[in-house]
Amino acid sequence: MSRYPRGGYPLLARRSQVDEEDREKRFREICRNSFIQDVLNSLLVMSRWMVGLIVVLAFMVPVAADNAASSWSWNTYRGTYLWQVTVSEDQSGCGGGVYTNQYSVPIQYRGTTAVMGDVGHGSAGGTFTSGNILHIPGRSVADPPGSSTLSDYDVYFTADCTAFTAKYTWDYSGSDGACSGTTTLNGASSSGCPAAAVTTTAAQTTESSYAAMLTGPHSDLQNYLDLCAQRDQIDHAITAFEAQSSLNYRLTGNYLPEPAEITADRAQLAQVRARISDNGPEIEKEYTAVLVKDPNNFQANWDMAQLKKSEGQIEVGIGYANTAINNNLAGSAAETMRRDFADGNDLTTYPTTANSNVVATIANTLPVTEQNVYGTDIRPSSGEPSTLITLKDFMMYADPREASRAGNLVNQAVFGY
Amino acid sequence: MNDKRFPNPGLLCAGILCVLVILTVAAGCTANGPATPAPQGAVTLEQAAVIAAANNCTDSGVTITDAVGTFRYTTTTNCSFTKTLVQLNASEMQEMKTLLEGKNMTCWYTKGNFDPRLVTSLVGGIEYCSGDLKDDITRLMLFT
Repeated sequence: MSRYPRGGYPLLARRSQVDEEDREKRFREICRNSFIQDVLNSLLVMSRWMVGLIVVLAFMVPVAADNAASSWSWNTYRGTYLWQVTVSEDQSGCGGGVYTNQYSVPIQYRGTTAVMGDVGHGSAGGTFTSGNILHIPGRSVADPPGSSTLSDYDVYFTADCTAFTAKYTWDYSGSDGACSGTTTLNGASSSGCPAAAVTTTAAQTTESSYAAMLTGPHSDLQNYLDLCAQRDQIDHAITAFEAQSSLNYRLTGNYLPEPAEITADRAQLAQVRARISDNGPEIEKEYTAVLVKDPNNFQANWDMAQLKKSEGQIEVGIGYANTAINNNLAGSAAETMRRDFADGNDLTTYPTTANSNVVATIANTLPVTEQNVYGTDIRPSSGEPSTLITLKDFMMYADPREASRAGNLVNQAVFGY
Repeated sequence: MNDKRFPNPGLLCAGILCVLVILTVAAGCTANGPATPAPQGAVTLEQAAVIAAANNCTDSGVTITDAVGTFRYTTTTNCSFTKTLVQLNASEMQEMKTLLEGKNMTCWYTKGNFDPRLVTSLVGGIEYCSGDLKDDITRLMLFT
């Protein structure tokens, strides 16, 4: 029902009705306009933010790009990089002057470790103490007619990969006197940072996983080599008894009665041989799994050399040893082993052919007459670096357990695993 | 009468030859078994005696001084041979003396197959031995 009386106040009622409609229309219009204004205001605010954001981004992108360039870290790179190095040697303390030479020096980057090529005192391995600082430990080197003790030092690489600097001191001592001096290294390169940082990080991860894969077989190999040593000892005791018994037979017509310990030895030998037969192929399978993917892997090749040597497969062992040494190691590996031996035996002075008759005798014997080890010719091939020859000699002559331990040491020092 | 008789020159030569052959064979039987490889370089009488005792797997103990130092060699009826470095020569560095003197290595072999280089050399043949002396000698190869 209408609120107005039927037929009463018709004009007023109509006017009132029109006014009300107008008001409502205007109200709606105001409301609509207000809404549009709010939206416009919001858009305006948003656009200001967008402009601000664009301005900020415009500043941020170059900064980020700068950061990308400055975040290069040599300790994540794996590969060989060639530097032009200016070496200044201050020999004024020795009555000389300052001598400057330039060398093209390769540095082998191996993740957290690196090996610097020869800058006058032989190659040297070190460990990164931060992204672009390589620490080279002190060492002694032959410096005929004497030897020099080099201080430890840091190599500082710039983040843009264009330069590095380093400085170390040395103390020379020899039959011609003793003196001290310094050597300064300034490396330069215009090649820029290597492009393979991402892929090499992946390679590093892979090598780490290989190292993890080899932990088990390396431990098994130690037990295996102990078993081989046990086998050889028991086998010899039995062989010696049998030889005596045969001699007795020839002299008297009677074999010697077998002592109880020899009977026990036979039983034990059978057990040891069974374990060797079971374990050897298993260990070999685990190393082969790595070598299929990474044929030059140092630890796998070095350990396989010991495994094959203990099985009497000397030629095969030499093959693995050559692969391990020639494809992986620089002179720093021999240096690492030398240092370990010297430190472990409190040798303050490195024995050399010049100051030790024993070392001179070994040196005279090895390359000249003692070419056959286990009846195998191990003469070095032409052009083989002498530092690697000494490693090969060591590998061939050393007890497999000792060689395996030394290989582990080199692996940790050179590759960081 | 002075009846001087001179021996027949042909018989005299044949006799001398026979004596030489017998001496050579006897010396060979005493010093080395037939399977022994010829030692490298000059071998002294003392060294030859050690090599013979080792080849025959007899008990013996001999001390010999050479260019490196004084070594004690012992052989046993079990065909084992032990080489002990008693003393290095006076010219050797003291640290090396401390390191090596008193150390030894033991080598195993079969009768008649002793490697004479174990007596005549510091390195030859040690691949079949074990002991502290061998470990140190192999490590010293890295300094050559």
